[in-house]
Amino acid sequence: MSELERLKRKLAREKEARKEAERILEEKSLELFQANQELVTIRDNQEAELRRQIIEIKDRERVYRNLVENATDLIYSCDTEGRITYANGMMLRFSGYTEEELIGSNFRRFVAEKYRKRVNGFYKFQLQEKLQSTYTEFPVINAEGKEVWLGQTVDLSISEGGIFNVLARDISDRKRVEKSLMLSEEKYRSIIENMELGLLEVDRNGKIIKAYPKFSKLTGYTNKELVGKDAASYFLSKEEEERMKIRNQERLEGDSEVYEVKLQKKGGGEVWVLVSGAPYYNENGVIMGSVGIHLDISFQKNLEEELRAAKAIAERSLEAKDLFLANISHEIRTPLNAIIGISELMLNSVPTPTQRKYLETIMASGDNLLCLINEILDLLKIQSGKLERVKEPTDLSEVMEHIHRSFSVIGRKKGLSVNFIDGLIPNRNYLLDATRLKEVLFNLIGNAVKFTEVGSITLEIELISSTKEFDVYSFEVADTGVGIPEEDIEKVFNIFEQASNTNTSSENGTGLGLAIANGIIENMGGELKVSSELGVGSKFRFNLSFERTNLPVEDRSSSNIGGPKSLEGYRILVVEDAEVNRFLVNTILGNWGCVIVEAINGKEAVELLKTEEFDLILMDIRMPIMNGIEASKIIRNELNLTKVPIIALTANAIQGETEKCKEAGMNDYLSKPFSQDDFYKILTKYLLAEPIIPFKNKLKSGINRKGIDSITRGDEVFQKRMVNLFVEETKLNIESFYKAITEKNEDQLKTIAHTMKAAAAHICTNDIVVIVRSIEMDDFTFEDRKNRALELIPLLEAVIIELNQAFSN
Amino acid sequence: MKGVIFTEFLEMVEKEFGDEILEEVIEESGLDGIYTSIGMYPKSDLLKMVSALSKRTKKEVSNIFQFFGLYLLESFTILYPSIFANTDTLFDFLEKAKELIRTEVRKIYPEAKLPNFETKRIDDKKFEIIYYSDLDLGELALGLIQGCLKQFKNEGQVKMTRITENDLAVNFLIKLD
Repeated sequence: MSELERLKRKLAREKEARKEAERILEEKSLELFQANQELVTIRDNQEAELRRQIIEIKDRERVYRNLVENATDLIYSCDTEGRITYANGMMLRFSGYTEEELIGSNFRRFVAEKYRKRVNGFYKFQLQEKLQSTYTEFPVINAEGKEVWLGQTVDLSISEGGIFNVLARDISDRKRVEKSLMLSEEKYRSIIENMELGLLEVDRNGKIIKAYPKFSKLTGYTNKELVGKDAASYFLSKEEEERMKIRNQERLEGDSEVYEVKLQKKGGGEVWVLVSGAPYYNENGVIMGSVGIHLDISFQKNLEEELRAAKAIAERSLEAKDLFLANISHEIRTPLNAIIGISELMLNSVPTPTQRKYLETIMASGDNLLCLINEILDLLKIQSGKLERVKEPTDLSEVMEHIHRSFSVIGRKKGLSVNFIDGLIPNRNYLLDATRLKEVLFNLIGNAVKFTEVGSITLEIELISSTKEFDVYSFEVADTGVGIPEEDIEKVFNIFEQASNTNTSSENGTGLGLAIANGIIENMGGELKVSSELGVGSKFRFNLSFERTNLPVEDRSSSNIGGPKSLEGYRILVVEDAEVNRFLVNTILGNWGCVIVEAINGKEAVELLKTEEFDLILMDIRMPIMNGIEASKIIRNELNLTKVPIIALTANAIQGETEKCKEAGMNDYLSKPFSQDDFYKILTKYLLAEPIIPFKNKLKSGINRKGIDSITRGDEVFQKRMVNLFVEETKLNIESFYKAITEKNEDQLKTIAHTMKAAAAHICTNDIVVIVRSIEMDDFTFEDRKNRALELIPLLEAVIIELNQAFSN
Repeated sequence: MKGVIFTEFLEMVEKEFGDEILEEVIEESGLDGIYTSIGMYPKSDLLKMVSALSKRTKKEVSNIFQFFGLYLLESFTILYPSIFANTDTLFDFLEKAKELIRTEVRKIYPEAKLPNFETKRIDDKKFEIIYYSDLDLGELALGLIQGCLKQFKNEGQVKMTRITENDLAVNFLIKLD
């Protein structure tokens, strides 16, 4: 290859290379241009963004400045020397300076004089320690020269040589509240600490948190000695501690309580306190413990103790009075017994008319005296609440008739008519104390007779309402006597008070009658009411409720007995220390033909009984050496003489005496003084083999067993059905009888009797059937039919009970 | 690879071996031999031309590369005197070289790949360079470093150690006298 050729090639390569370089340059220029264009766009965008941001920042700055300017807090800045460099509007208003005046002045000038040093030190410390933020409170003097409390937050900005940016708020109100709170707390604390009340705070476990000075004074322990100690074990006895545990539990359940407790004092000694215990709560309502307020009540406690002792003495003397009265009554009744008894004996011995008159006077006086003593004893019982009530099945109409009978005689003697109006007393028995009821009516009627000179006495009884188990009766005793002045009505029940205008000096009477009647009625659940018109008369009314019973009346009377039967040959041991009484008893018993052996005390009686047999023992209770109770116990338990009847002779009507007799194994008692009649009744009750039993009790059975069997031919199912039918029908018939009686419907009574006649003939005994038939009888009046019906009803009721018992299984 | 490498290579061949050999190398390597210093060209072009030169002159490829490195460094001092200005010592220059190369390479081709190496001044006399390259141009780099010594008038040895087998990382330890 020639040199020329090589040059040509080289030139061609150079030319190509140049063209390529130009092309590259062209390309790169374009790239550069485009890159520039992009840069311009970017720059424009950035400028716009920058402008927008500047506006935004300015806006925000304006908002913030407004906030700061219009803030109700004081906002200002200081340099490290305390010179104010900025202050918001609030600060200007607060300080009372213009901006020009304020800027450059030192904030310390506002701080209240006595706080300046502290505030200065506080901010020096912040600067020194470079604390970013602090808060403190101090008073400043505002434009009006008033002291104002500020709560000031200060941010320290380290840049630009240190700037305090301050946010301060007027906290005067809060300070005032705090101060008044403190004062009020101080006030109540001082009240509490100066009161005579010992405060003790304990935690949930009963550990003492604080003992206030008065409590310390009360117990002798200082607060220091008590804090942290267990209150209960420090102050209480063992048993009190147990009770306190329960109380603390109640405190934890939020219950308050007031109680009395005895505290042990330091160094011995006790103090009674009244404690008001209440739980206390924290701010979340959780019980933190309890506070006890202790009031020293030792003085009151001592007084109470003295009062209690005085009361015990009073009660003892009251008991002594009762005992004295009981004893006195015994002492009086024993001779009285002899006086009345022997008068009675003498009357039986055919005296001359003069002697008889004397004897009758003696007996009447004796009776009056006895009556007085009995009344005093009754009153004693009523007043001491020891009135015994013996409820026994009782026929009310019988009681009423007895009363009527008794007073008819008494009234007639005085020329008065004694009327008895019984509305309707169903022929049924009640559980009641007939003796007490009689006593009430005797007193009321006796009183009426006493104060009535002309006219009549009316006793009225009426069934006023019924429930399933009870009947309520109203009783009224009306007289046509002198009447009671209005002002004295209230007094009539007072003991020993009688209507003042009545000329009763001639009348016998204790003045206790109405008081006793009133007491008994109250005891029986009623209320005695009086109405009276001067010169017209008085009315005494009361209602009593009686419980029905199906039990028969126990016959205690032997009034059916014609006259004294011979008790000839019965060996009777009379144990009695009083000779006069022995004589009286012996005389009476001798009249009846008894063989009498005497013993003058229990011991003698026991000795006698070891060798001799007796049919009956009459035993006095109060005797020297060995009393009747003791002797009876020995006779029953040691001598094993269980069958011989022992009758107590007692002058003591005091409750408990009869129980003691029964406990000792005695059969019955006879209250001294006793009438021959009473004496006879009780002797026949225990000596005669077959005591007289009234008609009602003799009825063994009301059922005609044969009749039932014959009609049913032993078919038990049929029997039961028939009996049930009869029972249901009979119950209805009884109701119908009552209705017919109340309505005085004679025809209805006949119809009922007619309807039940056939069934009764099959099921009941003949004597019942006879009564049923008699109700229908032609020539009977309504009264006759009514009485028959009333007689029939209890019999039918008994039959129902009997049938139910016999055919229930 | 930057066009200046190619234009300088062709110039070195022409200067050192004459224009006849230049034409033969271009012909032998099957290339058109048209390069401009502002263009970018494939590395394979250089390898083909070096291989053709080695064949024609019976010289080792590695020697050619090392020699070209020395030549190239000298050309740079003329072409880009600014990069050597304000730099007094060899080690200072080597520490700044990476940044200088980056500017030169990327001023026209922002995406171009850069030679990657780390420098470590051990003491006043010792300096270490670790060169990472997938171009297998260790000898070229050695020539360039030797050229630098010469440029800053330093006497000393440059010891080249291949860290990995395929020459992807090469260690140069410079010890000045």
